[in-house]
Formats: sequence, C-alpha cells, structure tokens
Amino acid sequence: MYAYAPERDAARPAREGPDPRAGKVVLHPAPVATPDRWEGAAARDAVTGLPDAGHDIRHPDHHVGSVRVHGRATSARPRADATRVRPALARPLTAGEVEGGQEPRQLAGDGDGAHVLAHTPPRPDAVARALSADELADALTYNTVTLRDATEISILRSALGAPEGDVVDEDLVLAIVSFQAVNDIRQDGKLGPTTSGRLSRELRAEARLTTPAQARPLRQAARQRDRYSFNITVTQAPVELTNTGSGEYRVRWSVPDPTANGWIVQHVTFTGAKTNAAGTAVATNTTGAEYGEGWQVRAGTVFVGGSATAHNADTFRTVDEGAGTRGQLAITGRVTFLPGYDLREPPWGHTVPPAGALPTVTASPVGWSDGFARLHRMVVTWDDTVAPATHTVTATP
Amino acid sequence: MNRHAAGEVAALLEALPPWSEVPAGDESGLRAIEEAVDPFAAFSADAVVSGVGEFVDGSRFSERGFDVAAMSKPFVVSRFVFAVPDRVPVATRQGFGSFAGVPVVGDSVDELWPWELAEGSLRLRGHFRGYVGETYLAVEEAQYFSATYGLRDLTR
Repeated sequence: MYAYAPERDAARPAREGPDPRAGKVVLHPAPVATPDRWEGAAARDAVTGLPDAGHDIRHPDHHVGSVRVHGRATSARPRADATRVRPALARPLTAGEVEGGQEPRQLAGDGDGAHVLAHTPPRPDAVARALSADELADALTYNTVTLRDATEISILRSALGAPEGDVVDEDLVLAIVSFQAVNDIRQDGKLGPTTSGRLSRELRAEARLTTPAQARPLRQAARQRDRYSFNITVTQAPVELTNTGSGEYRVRWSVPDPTANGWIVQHVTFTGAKTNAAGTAVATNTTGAEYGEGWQVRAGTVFVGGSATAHNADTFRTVDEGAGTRGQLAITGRVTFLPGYDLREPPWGHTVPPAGALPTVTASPVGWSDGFARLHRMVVTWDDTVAPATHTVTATP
Repeated sequence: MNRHAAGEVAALLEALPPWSEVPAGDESGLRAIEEAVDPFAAFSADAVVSGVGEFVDGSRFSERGFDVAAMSKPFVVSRFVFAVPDRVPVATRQGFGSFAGVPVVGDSVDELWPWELAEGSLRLRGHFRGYVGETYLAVEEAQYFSATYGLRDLTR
C-alpha cells in the first residue's frame, strides 16, 4: 500500500520559496471559519499561542500534490498486495540519501517504493495485518461517519500514502492499517482517537518541512485530527432536577494514547434568558462567564490543570429559575486536545473563580478556533407560563 | 486523629440539606442549613478534613455519585468551620471548585461566599448560582483551609 506517488514526489518543492507546481492541482476549497473572539480579544496577540502559533490556521491555501516533502524520514514497507502500489518514482530515494540536499534520510526499506513518513514511527518495518471482510466494512462505516470533509480526506490520504482521492474507501482503510502497524497501535483500520493523534503528529512533522503556505492545510488537518484524538465520555446523562430550569450533566475526558502529552482546552460560554409570566425579561438565577480552561495530559492521563490530581469529570449544572417563568439556559464548551501545547502563566492564570483549580485564560489563544473544537453543551428550556408547562434538557454529546 | 470523629463529620455531612437545592429566594432553606452546620464546630480541623474525605468517598459510590448536591455540602461547611476570609487576592487565591457566582470585588475574591459576616456572626446569604467545571476538590480545599486559615472561632 505504501508507495510514492510520482505526481506528488517528482517535483518536491524546496523548503522555502514558491511551489513549482502551484496552480496545477485542483483541490476542494476548505471551509473558512469565522475568527473567534473571546473577552479581551484585543489582548490576544499577547497570549501565548497554540503549538502552531504564528500560523493562521483558517486560511486554506494549499496544494495537496506539493506536500510530500520529507526529512529524517522512515518508511513502512509496502503492502504485499502490489496491485495497490502506485508506480514507483522514476528515481526512487534510497536509504541514506540526502533529500533536497539538506537533511539526511533514514529510510527503512524504501528502496522498493515505500511510503515515507515524516515522523519516525516506532515500528517502521512492521507489516500490516489483513482485515477480515467484516472488519473492513466496519472500518469503512466508522471512517465514513468520522470523515466528512473532502479536503481533509485528500490530505489524510496523501499523508497515509493512499492513492489520491477525496473519499473514504478500501484504499484509505488499508493505508490506515499500515499506518497503525508501523505506529504499533491496534490495527483496525479506523481513524480512532489514538490513530488520529499519531496522524496529527505526522501531519505536523510534514508541515515543519514545507513552506508556510503548504504547511497551513497540513496543520489544519492536524487540528481536525486533534479534536478526535481524545474521548468525551458521558458519565451522567443530562437530568432535569426541576421542571423550571435546573439540570445537571457530567462528562469525562480521556486520551487513549499513552504517549500523548499536551493540554485539553475548553472554551466555555454561558447564555441565559428568562421572562416572567407577564413576559418581562428578568435576570436568571444561573450565572456564567466566558473563559478558557485547561487540563494537562501527561502520558495519556488527564490531570486537573497542571496538578497531580487526576481529572474526574466536567460538570454542567444550572439553577431552578422559579415557577411562572419561561426561558432557556445554555452552557457551551468547545473542547479539543492540543498536543504539545505550552500553557504558560501568564497569560494563563487562575483569575476566573468558577474554573476552580483549572488554569484559565480570558482572551482567545492565538490560533484558537472553535471550529477546530468539539461541542460540549447542555441546554435547558422550560415554559411554566402555560398549561401544561413544558420543559426539556438536552446535551451534546 | 479520632476515626470515630471523622465518621461523625461524614454522617453530619450526609444529613446536611444540600445548599445547591435551596431555591433562589428561599431564606428558610438557608436558615435550615445554618442550623444544621452548628454541630461541625465541635470537631477538630483534622476530624473535619478526614470527615470530608469519608463523605466524598462515600458519595462516589452512591447512586448519583459525587454530584453537585453532594459537592455543595462540604463547600458550605468548610467555609463555616475554617477561618476563611471574605477577601482573598485573585492573584494568590487557590481554587478547588467550580461554583458559579463567587463574588469578585476588584482584585479580590469573596472566598467566604455564600457566607457573610454580619455583626460578628456568620450568615448564609448567598444562593447557589450554578456549577461549571471540574469536580470539586473538597478534601484538598479543606486541607488547604485548615493549613492556611485554621479553625474559625465559632464562640459567637
């Protein structure tokens, strides 16, 4: 499966300067997210950035065919099913060859056209196992649900060495299995949390070897993988404690990859509106604020901030708003895992009392976008001004 | 440390009406909690800390777990028992719970909230305003309060 794609590798761009193939590859434009602003947005430039600080992750301007630049790379051997292997390079790279005249290469078994990974995997010579028909179908279904953006799919296929394309298919699943094999993780062909995290590393490693313009889509794809590299487990389903506004909901974060380090960061917002029986707006009993909060991840374990106390749960709880009222309360979190994030105090600190022991920030970190985070929300709606009264509590996930 | 005393503290916490469930505007609910916390004044700091620990451990194994109702009990008791001030600089404050509505005045946090000092006596005036965040580190907070502030003089 792993193979160089001649049309991508034959004209590797230099580390700096224009891409000689610019404009020759037709790509799907990636969505442009609306910039997010938190309280104190004017101060955001002073805030320590995310791992990709300095790079605007919201401007897709990329050429998939130009991203295959590698250094200090290690490859996995191609799969035995040679029918899937793309034609080899006109002049295959060989072990020890200096790519671009700048960095030595350490290519394990790439003389026969293996795919090169920019991030050295732990088992570069591992051979992928064959999936059963059921496993393959299961993986196809899983990945189809997980991957919906054509641009992202095309980038992932490129990174994984699958034939060019922008769909989830058997080739992509088999490329994932091979990637899992060399990374010494469970080979199921699914782009699950651990695989997503490792793929994020690979994408970032590739990004470091390209021009800024070429790096953007790779980092963008890495961010997408980051947000699926951890689990949000509902430990208490949303419950209505009263019929007029009080609800409670609990989740827990976990990072399955024992090699993962970084921070889980959540952007929290609260919105609430309430009217009395006369329809006059009145203040809600529940209060909230907008801020970011962080849980450190060390070797795959989530901790309360940077402490030695293990994370237990993230709880959302609203207050009863009283009889004869109607309204809606929403606590919204946008949460993602930021591998390698350097959370520094300041600008992070402990200035938001409701965040408890967690470090907080009131201005959006540079590069942060809610669009690259997962939704974590509880919404309580009630109307006690009519008969019969109505009330609901919903949550995501 | 007297294990029996810790058990008594845990039992008192179990029986305490949860502050989080007192509806806004229900002053009688707050008065009931004020009366229910008085017995805690008879225990040593170590007994309170250990008792909070026993209560938290017990809650985790209960049907609803250490939910907000359970969390709100040691939150109120620790502020009553220990000499927590009503003004703590934001810069030096250590947070342990994610209770919404903690008053911030200038550069200070009202750590005593929801209690207030009125004419030398503690009064429970604040109502629960919500909870958003990590599970309350009740034991760690009690240990911190004990070490930092010590027991409150409750001979009122």
